[in-house]
Amino acid sequence: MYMKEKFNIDQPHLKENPYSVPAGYFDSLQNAVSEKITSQASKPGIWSIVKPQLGLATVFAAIFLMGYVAVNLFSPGVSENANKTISADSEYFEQHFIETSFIDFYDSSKDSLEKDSVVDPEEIVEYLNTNADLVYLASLE
Amino acid sequence: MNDKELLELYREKGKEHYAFNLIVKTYSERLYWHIRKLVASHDDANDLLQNAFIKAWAALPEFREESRLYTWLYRIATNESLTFLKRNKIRSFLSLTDYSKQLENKLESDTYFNGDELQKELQKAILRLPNKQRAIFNLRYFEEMKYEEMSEIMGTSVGALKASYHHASQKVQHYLESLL
Repeated sequence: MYMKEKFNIDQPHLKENPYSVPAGYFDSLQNAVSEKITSQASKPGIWSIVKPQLGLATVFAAIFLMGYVAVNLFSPGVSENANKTISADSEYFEQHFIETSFIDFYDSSKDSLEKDSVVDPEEIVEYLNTNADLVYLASLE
Repeated sequence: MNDKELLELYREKGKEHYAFNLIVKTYSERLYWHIRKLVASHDDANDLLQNAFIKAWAALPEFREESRLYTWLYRIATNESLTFLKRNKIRSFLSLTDYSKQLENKLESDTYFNGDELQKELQKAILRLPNKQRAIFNLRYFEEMKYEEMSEIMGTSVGALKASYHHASQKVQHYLESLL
């Protein structure tokens, strides 16, 4: 009977390195790595990009805040008058408009579409009673 | 200059770049061949090796010598390569192509492959192994590295490494026997 030959993978020839590199590759590698490291070191990081912008935004925010505080501190009359106007308006509304709400106004409107479309059932019954003959005749046609 | 002397030189003020250049010079060849056998292509191996050294440069100030410098560098290079292979495998899966086949094609068209037909078939068999198993097989088979050192690099127990190498060599052997 034929026995398949067992292949020996531990042959010294197979363990030799079959690959090669372009001429002078390992000599140039050191410089390539050094250049990459130097260029990486000179590249600005995210923090160094964000830092000046963040500083500028903080300065603007501080100026805005100072301006806002100054306006509020040095012009007290404006805010008092504004409050008075609002309170006066409130009283006026309470006196003249609060009694009739928007919903009341809507319901009381005579030309409301809903009001027109709703037909009283009693009216229908009454109509049928009085015009029974007409309905009957109409159904015969 | 050994690892200890290299690290002492690196810690001397103003000599960091010089010391790191010496580290690159000492380990670039070994790391390159390790990466090259994992990814097959010279261009990919070159990119990965440079990235590995840049990562090593960035992490070297925090290196506490809990492991040896050379196993630490191997670990960075291996992780870099395995991440690259994993990313490409996912990309191939999404484009409905077989990544092992792509690696085989790269090997076929590689102008920097000087081996004979049997060596090429051996490399094809190795490229068919799962990525981590391939790294384990290469470290043991080509570099004859000790399992203890491999354990430091791969972060896997010696027992698991022995089992993985045994399975990998059986797969490679069966593949080559099928060609006879």
